[in-house]
Amino acid sequence: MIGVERSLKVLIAEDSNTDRLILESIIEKIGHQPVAVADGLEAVKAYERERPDIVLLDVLMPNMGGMEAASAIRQASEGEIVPILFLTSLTDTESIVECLEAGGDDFVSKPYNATVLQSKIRSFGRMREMHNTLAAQKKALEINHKHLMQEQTVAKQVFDKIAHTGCLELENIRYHMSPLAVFNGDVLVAEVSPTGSMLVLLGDFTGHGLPAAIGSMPLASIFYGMAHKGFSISEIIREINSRLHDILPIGFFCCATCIDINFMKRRLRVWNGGLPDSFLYRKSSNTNEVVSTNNLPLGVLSNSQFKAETTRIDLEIGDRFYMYSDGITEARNEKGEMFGEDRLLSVLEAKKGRDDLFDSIIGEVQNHIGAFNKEDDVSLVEITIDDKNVEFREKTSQASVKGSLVDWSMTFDVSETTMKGFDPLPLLVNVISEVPGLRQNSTILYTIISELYANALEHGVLNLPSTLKSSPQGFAEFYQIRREKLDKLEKANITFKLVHEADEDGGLLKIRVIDSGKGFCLSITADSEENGQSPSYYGRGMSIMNSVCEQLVVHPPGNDVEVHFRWKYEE
Amino acid sequence: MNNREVDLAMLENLKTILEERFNLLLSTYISDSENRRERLRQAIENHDFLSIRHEAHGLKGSSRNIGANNFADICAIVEAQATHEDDTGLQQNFAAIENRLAAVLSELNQYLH
Repeated sequence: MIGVERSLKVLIAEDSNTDRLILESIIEKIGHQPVAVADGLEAVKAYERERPDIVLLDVLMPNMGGMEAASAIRQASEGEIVPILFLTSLTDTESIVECLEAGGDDFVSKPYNATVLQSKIRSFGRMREMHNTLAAQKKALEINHKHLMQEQTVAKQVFDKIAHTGCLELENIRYHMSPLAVFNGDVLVAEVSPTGSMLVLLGDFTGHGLPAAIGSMPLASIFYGMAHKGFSISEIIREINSRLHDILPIGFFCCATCIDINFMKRRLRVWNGGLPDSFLYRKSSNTNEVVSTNNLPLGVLSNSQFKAETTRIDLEIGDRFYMYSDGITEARNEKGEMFGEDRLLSVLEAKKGRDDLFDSIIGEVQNHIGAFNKEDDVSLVEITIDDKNVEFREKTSQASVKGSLVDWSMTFDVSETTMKGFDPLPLLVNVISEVPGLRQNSTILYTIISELYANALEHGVLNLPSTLKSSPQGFAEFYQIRREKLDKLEKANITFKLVHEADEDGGLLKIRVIDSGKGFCLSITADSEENGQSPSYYGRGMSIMNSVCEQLVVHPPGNDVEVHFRWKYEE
Repeated sequence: MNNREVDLAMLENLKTILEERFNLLLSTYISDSENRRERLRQAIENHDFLSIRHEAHGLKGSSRNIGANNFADICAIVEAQATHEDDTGLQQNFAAIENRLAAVLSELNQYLH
């Protein structure tokens, strides 16, 4: 009567023919398969050959006794669980204890009872099955873990290639990061910009492991890509925010402190979104200042809501800047107590301005954690404001100016086939955005260029009167005529001429748009507007440009408009 | 009969378990126990306590299994004596074993037929 239970293979080692015959018969009767042998030596051989599920061993047997056989079988089982039950008499209390101590799991007493045997075999069969399931799961877990570690190692190598040390080896920067920090979600990137600024970003992604690590890749590649070209820290964090906002799932983001230190101008620009406040040690007054800016972390807001404005702080030689992730304040000891801000503040105060402050902070945190937690989640950066190597840093930066657009010009022709079906504006704005300093103005530039293009197309090439647009009905008519004329358009041309000149503070972008239309007037300049000489021109809705451009010139006969847009580096 | 050597209920139970092998079981017990009795006699003559213990233990176990409990009790006494290497009255105890076994076997022989 075994119901749905699996039939088990039961090894019987019993030297008494009578007892063995009875046991064999009982085992068969209760639905299992007996493998019967007469001594211990045969039992070990039979075990190796048959790999039974359960072993029943008599204690006293010729050749090899039950206890010796039990330990030989345990050795041969190679970690697999084999229940061993000793066959004995209830009266021998001593030998029962001995049996169990010798590695027996239970005993079966004589006279043998079918019901007792059945329930013992059933429960040990289940135990073995559970053990085997657990062992299989454990093995699967171990394999998984090994895979994961290998993957992390590879991922780390890839990450290290992308987020190379940048300028972190400079002697005025000290930092502490866990070797596998990227998998704690911590990331530190630093580079000297062509403008001479040192840019550093310390980030802490939500979560741990792969989800935390994956966002570090675009972050690092955007940071280095843009830092090399001379983009400002604001432009860089705006771009990183936009990318992270696009790729990270809701609820995932990156807390970060981003700084831009210009050693020549001795000024700091700082932006902090979600990381703990930074500290600035002031040498002149021997005090620690809290540097606090409250933004939302990177990747939370869409770029239209995102605030990339930095705070400007003047620096002096000997000042030291400290930024850290919450791994420091949240480091726990074995009681679960956090290191906390108070402990950090007292170290900062006690070792104020000293060279050993950095090591003291790390040391105190590690003492606090003790041997309890091996996971090192502590990230700390110290930057000393010195006047050494400023020239070197400047020189390094000058060399990489060549990597970005500085002085250049471009002519871009649009013919009637393009006008009919393609919008050339995003393409042009993309090119312009490659110029550091112009990217932050790309919205304004887009407006300027689209206004110029619309005028060239609608009033120049298609010769539409702007007076139509003064009434709602006129608007509809205007676009109706525009569509018809565009469809029939033959042989037309609009040329964009872009010229960019860099100067010390920034640069000048000249945009000139020439259309193949016949024009509308003689030479008019923006300045002459005061004399009332350009009424028809202003009817064409270009007043916006006059407010943002340094200069606006309409070359005769009016089919050739030029604007000058000047931009400046952030101080 | 209350003074039977072999527990009848036990034998009936074995019969249902062993079915057609029941007769084989009885003849196996009969020949095995006779062999053990002879080896036990030899061991006692030789004062070989280890062998005495083994044979008495074996006789005890299989006798319990077929329900010859009184006989098994005497075997247990001899086994314990041998374990402690105590030969006080060993000869008398062996004589008891011989007598009781003869009675057991005679009952079983009846049962066989």
